[in-house]
Amino acid sequence: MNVIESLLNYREEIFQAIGLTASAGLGAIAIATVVGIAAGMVLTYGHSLAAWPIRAYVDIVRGIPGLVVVFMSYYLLGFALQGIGITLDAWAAGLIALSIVGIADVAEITRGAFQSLPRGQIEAGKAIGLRFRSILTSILLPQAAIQMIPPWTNSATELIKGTTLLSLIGVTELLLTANQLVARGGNALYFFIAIGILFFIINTLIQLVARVAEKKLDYRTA
Amino acid sequence: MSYYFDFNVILRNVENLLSGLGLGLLLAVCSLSIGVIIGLFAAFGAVSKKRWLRYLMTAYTTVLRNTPLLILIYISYFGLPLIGVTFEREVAFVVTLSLYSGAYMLDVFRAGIEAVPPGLIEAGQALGLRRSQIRLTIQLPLMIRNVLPSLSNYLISLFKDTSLASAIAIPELTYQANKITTETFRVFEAWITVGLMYLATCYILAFVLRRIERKLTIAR
Repeated sequence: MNVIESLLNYREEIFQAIGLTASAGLGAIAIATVVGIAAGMVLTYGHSLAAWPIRAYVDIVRGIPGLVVVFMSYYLLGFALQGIGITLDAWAAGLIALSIVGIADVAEITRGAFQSLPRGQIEAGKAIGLRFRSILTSILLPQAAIQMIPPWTNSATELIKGTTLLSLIGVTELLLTANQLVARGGNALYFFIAIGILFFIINTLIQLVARVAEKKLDYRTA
Repeated sequence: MSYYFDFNVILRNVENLLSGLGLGLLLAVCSLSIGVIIGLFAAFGAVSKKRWLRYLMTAYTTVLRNTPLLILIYISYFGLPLIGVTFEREVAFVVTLSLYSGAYMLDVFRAGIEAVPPGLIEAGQALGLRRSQIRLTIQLPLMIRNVLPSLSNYLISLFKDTSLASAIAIPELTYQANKITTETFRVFEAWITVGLMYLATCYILAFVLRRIERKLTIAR
């Protein structure tokens, strides 16, 4: 069975697989970005009572392999939710796991970017009578954002790559679908290389968009 | 929720869990030592004057860093036997993780080499050192000190990647947790224990690497 022929035969499964991969990957990136930036700001400027649990969360998540987080979410969260009558499907468990990992990464990235800004920036804002919220949104955030884009892109790439881990809890995303096609007699080498190339293209596109955004956001060249 | 904890399962499997952790560490040490060597050579290739070599190294790191590790593992374990290249599963994993970590190390080392002030290289040339001598005695030691912090971060994150070996049935820690899960359904005990074992190992690794960093840093 040649690859093109079987790709055409199984196009429905493949489209569904692309959908599951993309929704899990992009969903996790979106959640990680929004929640992670908020968490990172609390880490940097928040009250220590609020910052401490986030610090603990980040340090714990970053010491556990992503695959283990995926299994934990699937088994532990799934089991706990079953106790109260909710069935957690594998895709949702995977999305939650990837988000948990992503939030921890983005929170660290955000903290790093904000902490590297000179203190004088806040003082200058205070001196011209701005409230902290305005200092944050109009002085600190634009500067931190540019610094955050390159490491954020790495995190986003890791999350897109991480969607393949969901195949191990039975989500029929790209890799599991490829596995199934291989089991039906497909050529393992071709199929795995083919989806490898697909991931390479997706990640390269994300990096291109990020590079454009970085140029656009840069107040020094704009 | 009527779940009662029974950590006896863990006690009965403690040997498996520890040998799983040991196997994971062994896989990490093998792949990372090869990965660091690949990364070093590749990094000097990436800053070389020959344009084709630079392009080749950029292609290597971009392709490997943008492809999921699990797919690379499947390519080498399930795919390559179709063209007559067959590995043991452990060897397939180590080869894959070495090449994968080499791609990350390349970027780390390249940044380190580029951070060595050009004046020092010119000083070496002025002294009449050969290019290999400049590399070995000026660029290499200074670069290692530059890259140590980011190198230790990558070493820890690549140790975490050994959990993917469970996908091709290598009996490391994650595999053992899955085994306990399917044999006894003791999900909480299994995954909490294994999570804590990974966490502890990562922190011990981080502590040791910080120590080494401090030893190698020159007091200013």
